[in-house]
Amino acid sequence: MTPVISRGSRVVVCAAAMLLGALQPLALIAQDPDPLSRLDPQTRYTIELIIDSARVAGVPTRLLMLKALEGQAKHVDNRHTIAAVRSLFHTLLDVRVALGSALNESEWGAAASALQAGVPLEGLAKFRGDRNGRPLLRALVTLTDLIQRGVPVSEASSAILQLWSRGAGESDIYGLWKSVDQDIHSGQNPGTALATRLREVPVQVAPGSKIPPASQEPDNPSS
Amino acid sequence: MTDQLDPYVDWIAREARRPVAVDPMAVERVMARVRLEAPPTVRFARWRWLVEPRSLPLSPVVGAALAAGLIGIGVFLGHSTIDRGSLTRTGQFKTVVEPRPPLASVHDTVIKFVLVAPQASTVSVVGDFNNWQATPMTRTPTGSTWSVAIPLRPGRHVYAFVVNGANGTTQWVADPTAPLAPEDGLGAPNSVVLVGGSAS
Repeated sequence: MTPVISRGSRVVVCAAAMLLGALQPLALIAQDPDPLSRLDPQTRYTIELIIDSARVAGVPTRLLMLKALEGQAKHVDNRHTIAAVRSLFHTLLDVRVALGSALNESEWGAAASALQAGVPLEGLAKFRGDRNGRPLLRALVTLTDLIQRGVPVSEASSAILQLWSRGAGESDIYGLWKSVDQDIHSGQNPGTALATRLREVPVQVAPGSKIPPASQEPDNPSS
Repeated sequence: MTDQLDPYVDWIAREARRPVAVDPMAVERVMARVRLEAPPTVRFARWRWLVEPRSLPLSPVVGAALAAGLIGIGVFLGHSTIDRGSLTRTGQFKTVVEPRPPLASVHDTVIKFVLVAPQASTVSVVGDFNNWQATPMTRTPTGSTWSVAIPLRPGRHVYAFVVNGANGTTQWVADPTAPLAPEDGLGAPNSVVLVGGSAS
């Protein structure tokens, strides 16, 4: 007669199987394989439609997903979250018009932020072309921040584009930003602080970069 | 009741008792047809072996060992598939020396986020690097400053601090030492940090 599995063994095996089944989902949660699952189904559906459109259009989709997650984290109304994601999608399409598609994800995000801060499309397009290793990302982030801190869009765009055209390096742009930031915190007018500090930036012309004529200014933006 | 059977029933009984004459060759014909049937293939035999119920002799100790092994495999597979991002790439944490690094483009993959919030009960940092899920910050021994070191990939990252006050209030705060990202309809503005060589 064949011995059968004892009751205790069966209990242990069943418990192990259940525990194993419980552990695997935990591992999947740790990987966060589906971040959009945090959204309610209707919002998620709409966001996925936008993301799908972005995929077809060839703009980065991860930035859109992150925007949706940001809205969820900030407990923003679903309609506003969808509106923000949709707005970002359209802004990314504008970025592609201004700068082309040869950008990394960070540059896409920085350029979109610059447009959202009020930099006109024509102004952003002036950063297009051969960079000669110059820091597009730093330039765009600094431009956006200066506008956020109260520097008029036209003055901020002109200053950063001037540095960019003269072949300014990352340290030059960062140095300018830090000085202006200090001046603003000490109570100076943002626009005046930028104009003053801009004259102090010792820029070496990078090989291959063009020095614009003195009259060259970016188009007057509508801020 | 009467002992006399109904004639019809009597007829049935007689018929039932009558011996049946079987053709002596019938058995041979049936067996010949059976022998003509193809034997079951090996494939089906193996399948039957797999699905056939059987008793498995297993002591409680062996059962417990088997269970522990299955759990171990599950834990190992789950643990080995967790994405640890740049932490696994760098292999170690390196503290950024500069006290307020988000401004600078650093070459380390670990960024130390710092916020002075003496009245806060807890502070977290949220951003695109953690899918906007809070990473708790720890209070420094001085008691007024909160910090956390997070490995970041090179590039531009957007983040904010979530400050929980002692009175139960929650406030989203941009980093006062970092560049700002524009407000885009989601409430509090975010800060920006540039990391590593791709910042150029």
